[in-house]
Amino acid sequence: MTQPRKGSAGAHPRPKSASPWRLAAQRLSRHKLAWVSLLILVLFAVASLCAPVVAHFLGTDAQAVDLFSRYGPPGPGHPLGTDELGRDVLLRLLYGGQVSLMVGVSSALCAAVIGTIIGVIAGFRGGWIDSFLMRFTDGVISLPLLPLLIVLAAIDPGKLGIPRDIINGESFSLYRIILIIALFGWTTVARLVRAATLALREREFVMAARALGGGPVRIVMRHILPNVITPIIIATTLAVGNVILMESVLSFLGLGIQPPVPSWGNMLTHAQEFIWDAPLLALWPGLLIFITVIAVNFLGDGLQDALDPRADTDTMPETGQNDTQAAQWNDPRETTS
Amino acid sequence: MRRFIFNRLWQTALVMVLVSFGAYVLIGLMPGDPIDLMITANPAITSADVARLKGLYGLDQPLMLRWLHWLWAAINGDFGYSRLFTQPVTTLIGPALVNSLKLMLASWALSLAIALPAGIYAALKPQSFRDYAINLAAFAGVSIPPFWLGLVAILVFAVTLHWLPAGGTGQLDNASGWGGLRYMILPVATLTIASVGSHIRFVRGSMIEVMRQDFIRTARAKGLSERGVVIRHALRNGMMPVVTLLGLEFGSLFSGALITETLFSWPGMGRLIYNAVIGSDYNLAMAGLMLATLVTLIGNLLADIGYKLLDPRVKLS
Repeated sequence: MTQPRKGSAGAHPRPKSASPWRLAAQRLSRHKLAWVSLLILVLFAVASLCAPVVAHFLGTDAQAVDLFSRYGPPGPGHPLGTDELGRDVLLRLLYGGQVSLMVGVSSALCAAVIGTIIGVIAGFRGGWIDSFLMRFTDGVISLPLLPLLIVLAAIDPGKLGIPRDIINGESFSLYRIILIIALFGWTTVARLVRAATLALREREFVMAARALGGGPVRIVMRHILPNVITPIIIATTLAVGNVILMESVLSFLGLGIQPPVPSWGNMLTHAQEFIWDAPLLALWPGLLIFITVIAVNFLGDGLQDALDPRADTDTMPETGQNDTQAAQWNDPRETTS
Repeated sequence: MRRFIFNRLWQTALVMVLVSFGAYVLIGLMPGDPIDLMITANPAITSADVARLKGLYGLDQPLMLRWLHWLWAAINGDFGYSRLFTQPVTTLIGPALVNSLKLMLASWALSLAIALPAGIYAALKPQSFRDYAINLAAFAGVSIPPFWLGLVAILVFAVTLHWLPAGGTGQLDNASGWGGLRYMILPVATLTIASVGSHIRFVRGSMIEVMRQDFIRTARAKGLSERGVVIRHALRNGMMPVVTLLGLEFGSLFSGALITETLFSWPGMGRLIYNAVIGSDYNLAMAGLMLATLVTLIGNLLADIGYKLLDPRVKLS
């Protein structure tokens, strides 16, 4: 008996025969969503990079306070109105987009690098190094994420001996949040890479490379890494959405990106106070977070389908302790409620 | 089994000790330690006074020693005094736990009541229209920022429609019965929407995986109705990862929902931890963090045990 085809044919007892057209349409419709998502993300990225141009045309900048026109309605000078300090909402949304997208991508990339290094070392070296690193990973996974992130975000870097003038710099809170989120985000990639490395290590082409005298660094760089890149790409894409959510949560709580630098999260910090005066102000940033995150998730899902068609059903863990995290791609921990 | 549990309890204790050290160091790095605050509050304080106060509070001792002291006291049930609430930490945690539990249990039950049927329903016909629709809704649920969802809920139901209170528990105006329940509706709804998406995707994924197994084909081949196949063969196997998920989330029942509770002024554990961190209340923050870690670790352990109970093939090593 052949493998059941993915789709209605295998999973239903009396399948309607799936015509090639229907299959193609289904696949297209799936990937169309991913394409639309990519388009939206590119659009957001371009728009937020154009923020200085928009500022030039509006003749104001994102941090110009005008207390005489607080909660201004949308109008020619301010296409989306003004906020509680009379700043232009559209500009702040655009600059906030720069911050959110940058934090999302860089933090996910940092996490991917950390996770890849740990995963490759664990899978390639094996032995006690492997069990130590994996126990450590399990430990990190089992920690309550949000409370710890909040403590980390609240510590005073001055007490770590970092000079004050660096801390008070505008971009310090940006780097800090990228680092903090990456510090906890590497576990998924580490486990994926370790599992893949373990399997690859015993393959003939790796043994051949070893027999030809290839050192461990060369084998990892030339033979292992190119073959584990697919799961890394998928996991990292999906991580970008989570990071953006987490950044917005921390900034919302006043622990992430510090004003006056706008981010979609910190634009909502005081939303509860002005919700009576200007409800629309509370709407825009959240809507943009929502659209961005859902687009990233659709893109990740589409990539998963396209690059690794087998993987989207790999939700069954094997056994025991290592697999308390059952879903392979999506971290099921409730991180942001 | 007994040996496994014993080993895991031992490991859990070890992780707790390590985390408590990490948390102790981190919390000590938060701004505004007690002496700092006294210096700010009283400009006339001299450096001799500072040294004396540090000696009085034991802050002149090395970090390691202070942590061991904290640990010993904590093991004996003494978590110190909360500076923010001027009460012993242990008396603050009890009511907060109860409040969180109320909120989380309600949203947990609601979320599962939606996710189980929806996920299974979608999984029985993958790639169909209903699967896409359910999946789309699940993606939306996963991607929505929970604090914004809460804000919009307040905006619509409290500010505009005046149907429901915007926050609190109603204890102040002695609301009971329906009056008290009204205060729970918005936070519970927010939490449910925030978690139902990942639950649906989880249930769906594991059911699809099970429906592809050979024993499902066998069950069909022997002439079982589709209903029988699903109920007798697929569900039991498909629910195992869900048990894992429940175990992983068990901790959140007690550690609460930091954002939702803060947003709706719900006096639970999450809000307590947040206030402690923001207000530099070291003792309270320590106790809250440790409790959150402990319940999360216990949840992981329960997940593994539940797994074993459902599937005798699983070897617990």
